[in-house]
Amino acid sequence: MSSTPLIEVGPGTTGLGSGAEREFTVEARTQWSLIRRRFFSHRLAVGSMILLLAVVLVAFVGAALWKYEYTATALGPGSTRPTFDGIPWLDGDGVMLGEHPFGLDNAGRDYFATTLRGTQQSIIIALFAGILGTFIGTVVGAIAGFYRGWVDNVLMRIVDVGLTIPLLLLAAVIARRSGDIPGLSWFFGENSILLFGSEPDNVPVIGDYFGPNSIILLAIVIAMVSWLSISRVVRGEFLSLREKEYVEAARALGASNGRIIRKHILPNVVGTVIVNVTLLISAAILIETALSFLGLGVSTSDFSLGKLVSDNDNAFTTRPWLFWWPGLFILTISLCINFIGDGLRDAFDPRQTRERR
Amino acid sequence: MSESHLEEVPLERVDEASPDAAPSAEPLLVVDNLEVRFPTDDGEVQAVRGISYEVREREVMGIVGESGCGKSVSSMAMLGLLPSTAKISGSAKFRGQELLNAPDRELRALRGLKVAMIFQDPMTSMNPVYTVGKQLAEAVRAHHEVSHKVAKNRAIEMLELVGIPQPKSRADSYPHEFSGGMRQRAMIAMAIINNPDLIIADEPTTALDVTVQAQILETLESVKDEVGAAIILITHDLGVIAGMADRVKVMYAGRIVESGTAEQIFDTPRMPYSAGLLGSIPSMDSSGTLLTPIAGTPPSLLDPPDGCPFVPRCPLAVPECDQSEPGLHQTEQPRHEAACWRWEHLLTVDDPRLLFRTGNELVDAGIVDSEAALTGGDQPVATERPVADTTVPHESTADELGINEPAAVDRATDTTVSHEPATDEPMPDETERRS
Amino acid sequence: MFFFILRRLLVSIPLLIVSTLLVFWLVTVSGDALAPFRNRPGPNGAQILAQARQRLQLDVPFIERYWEWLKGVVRLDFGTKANGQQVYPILKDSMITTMRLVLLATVLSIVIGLVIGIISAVRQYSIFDYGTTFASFLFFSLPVFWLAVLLKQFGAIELNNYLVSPTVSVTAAIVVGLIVGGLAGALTGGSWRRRLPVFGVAATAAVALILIADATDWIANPGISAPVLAVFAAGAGVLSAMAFAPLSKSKVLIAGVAAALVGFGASLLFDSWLEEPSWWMLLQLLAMSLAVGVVIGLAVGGFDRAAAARAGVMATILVGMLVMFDRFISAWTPGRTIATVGPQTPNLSGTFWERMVDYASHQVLPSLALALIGLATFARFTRASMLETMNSDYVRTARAKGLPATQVVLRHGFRTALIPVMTIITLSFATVIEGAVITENVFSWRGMGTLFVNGLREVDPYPVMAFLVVVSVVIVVMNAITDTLYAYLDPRIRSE
Repeated sequence: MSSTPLIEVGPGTTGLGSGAEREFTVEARTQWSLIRRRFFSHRLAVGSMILLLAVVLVAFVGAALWKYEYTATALGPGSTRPTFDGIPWLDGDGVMLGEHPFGLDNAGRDYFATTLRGTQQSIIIALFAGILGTFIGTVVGAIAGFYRGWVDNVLMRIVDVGLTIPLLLLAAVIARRSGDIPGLSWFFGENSILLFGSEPDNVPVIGDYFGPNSIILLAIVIAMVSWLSISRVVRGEFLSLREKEYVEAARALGASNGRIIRKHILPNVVGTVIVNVTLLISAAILIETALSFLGLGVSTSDFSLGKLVSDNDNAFTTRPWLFWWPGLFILTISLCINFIGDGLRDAFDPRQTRERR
Repeated sequence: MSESHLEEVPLERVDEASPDAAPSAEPLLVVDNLEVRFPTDDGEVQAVRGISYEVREREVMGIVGESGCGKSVSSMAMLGLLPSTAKISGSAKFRGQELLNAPDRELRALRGLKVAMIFQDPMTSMNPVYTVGKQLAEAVRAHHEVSHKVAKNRAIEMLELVGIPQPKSRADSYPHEFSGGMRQRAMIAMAIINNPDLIIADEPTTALDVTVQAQILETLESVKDEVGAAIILITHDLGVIAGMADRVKVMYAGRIVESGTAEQIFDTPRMPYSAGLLGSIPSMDSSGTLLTPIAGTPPSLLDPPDGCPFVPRCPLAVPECDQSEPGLHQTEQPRHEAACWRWEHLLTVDDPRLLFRTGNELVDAGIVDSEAALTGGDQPVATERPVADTTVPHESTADELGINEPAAVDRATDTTVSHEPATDEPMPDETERRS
Repeated sequence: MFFFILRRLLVSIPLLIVSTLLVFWLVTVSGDALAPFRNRPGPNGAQILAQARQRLQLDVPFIERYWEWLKGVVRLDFGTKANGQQVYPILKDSMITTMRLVLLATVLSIVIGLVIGIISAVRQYSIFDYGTTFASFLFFSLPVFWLAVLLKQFGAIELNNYLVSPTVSVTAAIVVGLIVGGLAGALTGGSWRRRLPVFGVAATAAVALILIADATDWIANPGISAPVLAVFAAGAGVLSAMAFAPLSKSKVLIAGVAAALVGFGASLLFDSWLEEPSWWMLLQLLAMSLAVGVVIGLAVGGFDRAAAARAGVMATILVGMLVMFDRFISAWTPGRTIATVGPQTPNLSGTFWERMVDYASHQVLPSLALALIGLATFARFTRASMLETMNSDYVRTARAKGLPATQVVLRHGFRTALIPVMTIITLSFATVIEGAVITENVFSWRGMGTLFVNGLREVDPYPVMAFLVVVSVVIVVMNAITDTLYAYLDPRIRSE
């Protein structure tokens, strides 16, 4: 893949004066349109994209339009079964949404609204974490791979050390002490100390008071761990790309480092980076679930899909819907993102030959 | 050799006829109207559009053509090495046994034993994780019930035969420890190790540099005599053909456009494309002049034209050429055929290679009075030229675009050289033949 | 070799020191270790606090504490927990527990992942390929925790309810039969005409087997009778032969089947010994079976001695596994359940096999949860790698030489495709360890993960550090092993 647009052109048209004007050509295409074309022929990826967009729309727009708020409690007797009909385990009266399609949870909240809220938060966290993590990782990897030498060494040692630090530890530190860090405490109010388990005095958790910010902090934690692996990958790409002949040629022509990076290396790395963004985003959702399960995730008054799933794991035998719905949402979102990532990977790979069968 | 318990005839089999093992009259391989089509996202690519030929025992058949003309595809089709999406039709019979679309079991019995193949890129053609000796021995044991030791000895023998020094220790080396030329020799050794009747060499020298090329061709020639095999030599390099081939097939756009002996095609090409190929070779007498390529590129095989596919690039093209594709016409020489409607006109041209030089150059050089004299058509050559491909360094772009004013600078530098006729035919003959 | 590993370990030491220091610091600042002791009511409140502070050495600056800890580690003293327990003994137990889980999961995911990857690549774009690709993505996108809970519910609770009175309805048998037939059909390549009979035979055979099993109450009281075992053994022999040479090489086939039958015969001979074996005895039996396999292979193999020997070894190992499996399921007493709590039933007494079954029933679900996710990664990666090698020039050469298809795929395609797969083994292992932390929680295993999590909760650095050290050492060792394997597999690396 060179940085100049690759024009696929057929043979020249005939200059024959008399007679036939034979069309020997196949249309010229630029690199990006090739990639787009390959992506859209990947049916699974396209389907996933549509599904994902639908979920996002429902989560944000649908929640706003839905008649119940997720904060409203005691809407009915706790733990009512879902009224979403058409499912075998209920006595079906035909397909209808009913009053509470996902039922009610223990506190009487409409679970549909709650799940949608959880979806919103999870998506925000995942997007933020994924993009931030990829960005940091790409920058670090690029610098390390391009400049090599001691810069590379130092950066990679940092990455190595970083990889040994468990995510949970970082999350715990941030969760508990974010209030003590000057500057952050201005954002997050008084000392936030989290003790999970069955401590009697439930001290407020991170960002109890500043809803969106708290999940941003969580996203930052996740990003801080994810950027490490991306940096390795990007570094590897830069290391090999900088040895390519066209970089040598550009240098011989007097191109500056910045220009070389911008025009020759980055366009070739873009594919890997984009694919990795999707991987990171889907990983972020799963990481958030794990963190919530161990109590280090979203604050007690807010919801994320991970928190919903972990809070209700014991309910599975008696009130399965509390466990199924958020889990299915996680699965769907993560699956769709993975398929999209796969489609992107195929689209960016110039060696792909889709033989028609 | 006495220890080898190979069930086949031992290596030193020399044909009774003569030490140089001349080709026999027995047809070894008969190909009839072979067609290969590949379905792709853009449509169906017709890679091979009906070729037919015969290869006799111990004959060297050269197949020449540009990249993409279908020469490699046609050979791989015969051994069943194309991807399963390929649609193959026609017939290719090896000693009477049909090869095309045959079950894998049958083909396997032939591959590597009766029909062997040498591929283009020796760097990637061998598995990097096994030693060379092991890979050669594998070829033996695939077809003979022999012990490892015997197979390995045979491998060492073959390495020696192809001229690899210290064959014993080389057999225990890995492919990445070999140079390109040596690797190709090892591939040749792998091909002949079971005394095949037919060797298909697909561009065996293309990936190698020139000095090594000569050595490889020499090796190929000598093993051919040792083993008594026929060779199908596929290449785009006419020089390679000149030295080795008995008969030559020129391929263009998936078809054979000229067929004859090497002498016939080199001395008296009867198809403009062949003439163009010959004209583009640098030679001693053209030193100091510009090279003469065939401008333009081959047609897309997605939608081949109704007429002759060479029309856009052909200096002799007339409207009739575009109407239907010429089949192989018998020329005035025995067993020399050409797929050109105007092959007879080439009889009148002393040096067909001149056809591809721009008309004005030749006029200036005094070689011809006008381009029309050369081409025999009613239009000046200049306007029949295709738009030049930008990758071809081309001084006379002005000509190509139909502008008759020659670029002053180019002419200035050219005048000194264009006076030298490209051929030593006496000039007056040209003017007499003006139609 | 030894020096290679040693050198790797030495180079990693500065890294380990920095990271352990960092982690130690992070844990100490992550919270208030004295929190449970503060604000205690009563006259002794302040005193208790002061005592706690002294006991936990919180009056000493953390650098000193770290240095003490480091010195201790060299002596294998990993410090003391907040409640006074020594960390080291707890570490030993939990390490074994977690390693059991993690190793089994990793081995399963590698082996099955490789096989699925190869088949998907060879049968690209087939139903099998699409199916396994989809399944891989599915497992990949599942949160470990959700999967674990689901397995707990369906793999254990529901299954156990079923096992109380196991019966199979005819419809269920037919459904299962169709699935088996479908799988068999998907695995065979080629046209519909070839596949349909395979599907039919497989489906009918499956249905028949299930109905017979139901009729004989096999599910409640499983076991493999001797003649059936013999048949399976012969089958194993054929399979082993196929793996190393085309079936036409009769000598290899004979070697495989002979070794298998000898193994079977031996199992009958040693029947009494196998009633109550010890680990040492089992090891000896394994060595013997390997030797027998090699000997038979070499004796019968003729020119194909090497392949025959390998086939013989694989055959004896497979038969050994079959015999053990038989013993296993025979020990499955009625009323047994798949357990969901803990690594084993405490204070269980019984025969060796009953104890083994107990371990297995406790281990199957958590290992499955971990394995499924790693499996997806391996399958995808192997498939991608295989596709690349199968399209390479040297595979084309191998075909042109006339080699049979299995050899081309296995000896040329797979062998070379394996090389890049090595690089992700350590990564996958690390992921499994992370997942183990969660799985241990769901299934209430007291392993290293629990150690870690509890340590975090109690703001106690010592268990956390112990976890970190063990995991780091394991990863470094694994890296060294995979690097060695990599060099063994790829001669180009060796030349450097």
